[in-house]
Amino acid sequence: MTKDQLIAHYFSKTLSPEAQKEFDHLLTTDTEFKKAFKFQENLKTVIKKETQTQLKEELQSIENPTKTSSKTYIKWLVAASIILLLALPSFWYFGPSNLDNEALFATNFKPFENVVHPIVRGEDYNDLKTKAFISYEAKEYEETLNYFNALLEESDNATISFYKANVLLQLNKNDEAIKILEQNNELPQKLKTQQQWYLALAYIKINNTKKAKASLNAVINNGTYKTKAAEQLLEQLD
Amino acid sequence: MVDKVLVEALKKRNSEALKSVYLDYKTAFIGFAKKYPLDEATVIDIYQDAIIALHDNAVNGKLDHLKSELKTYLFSIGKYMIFKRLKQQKSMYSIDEDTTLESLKIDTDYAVDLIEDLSEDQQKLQIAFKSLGEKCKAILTLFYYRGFTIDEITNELNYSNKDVAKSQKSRCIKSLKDLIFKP
Repeated sequence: MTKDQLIAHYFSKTLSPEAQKEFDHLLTTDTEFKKAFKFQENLKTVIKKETQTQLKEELQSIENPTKTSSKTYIKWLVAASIILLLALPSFWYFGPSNLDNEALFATNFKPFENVVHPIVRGEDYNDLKTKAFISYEAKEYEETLNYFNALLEESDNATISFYKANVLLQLNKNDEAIKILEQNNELPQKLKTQQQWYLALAYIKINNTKKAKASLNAVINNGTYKTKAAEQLLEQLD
Repeated sequence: MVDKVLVEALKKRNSEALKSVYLDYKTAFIGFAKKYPLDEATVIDIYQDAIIALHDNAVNGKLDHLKSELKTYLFSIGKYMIFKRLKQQKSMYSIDEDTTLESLKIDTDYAVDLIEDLSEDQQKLQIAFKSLGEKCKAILTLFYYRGFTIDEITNELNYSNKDVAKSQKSRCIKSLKDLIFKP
């Protein structure tokens, strides 16, 4: 049996006693095997968590069909107030910054990677979204912008808007980018911190240090994405 | 037996079955929890978690040979979760030592803890997994969460043969890894 097969049998609970022995042995002696297994075990945990979250939402919606959305709304309101409170001192201590903000922006900005529309080689490239992300990944930003605009004309989509803002920043159309990032509230939860990060960078670019700090604080408070980078950047702005 | 049918339906991720189990025992559970110092919203929250744990165990085949009634089993999970919550709240309600919690866990005999926090690696993996296509999510969920073999997956998702299912799964793992390791 190959190592991959051993792991597969582990997950389908079909390891024979001998195979189990081999499995246990490899786990303690073979680091590559352990790494491969650990990755898949983590994946199992993630999928289980996903399922549990879905089930919870399903049960909550039985309980009260409107409750869940208002709950998250309140949560965000609370989060926003906390961020605002944390950011307040910087309004008072705010002094002229002699840092070159353009340089700060340049060292920190990298267009957010395409995690929403994986491009698979050999598949049909004809739909607009795929074309858009192919040119995005190829860093053809003018072209990408046209594609995104076309997509957004078809229908509003917060995720596409977020990527469009990234492109606008790249093309130095800062005000337009900020307008999107400030108002793009329908974005999926998983991308919200990312959006704050890019908003912070955009503010830095237009020398609005006050607002940049508030956004960076939001990123830090969330603690899931670019936390360290945001802390560093905040220090540099101070 | 009705319980058996329900367990089978839960295993297949049938939303109606889930709803039916949930509603069938809800009132009884709230009544049962009245003797503990918890408000109703908390009790419902706990009850939902107990249902999810029940679902997990059904999927894992741990309820295939259930000796007690489904309701009894559900309530013992719920009781464990109530005690755990009270302990977390450091409530005035006196619980004798940790042994109580442990013995309750042994009574139910199965996993009763939901996944709470993910490690850093797992969080990255979670973001990547969420951005996969539906096809990949389905095949990976069947394989890792429900413990299907490749043969069973071939059948369930109507792949033309085992090798197609197998290479589809490898492709999904690869795009997952690409999503994580892409700088």
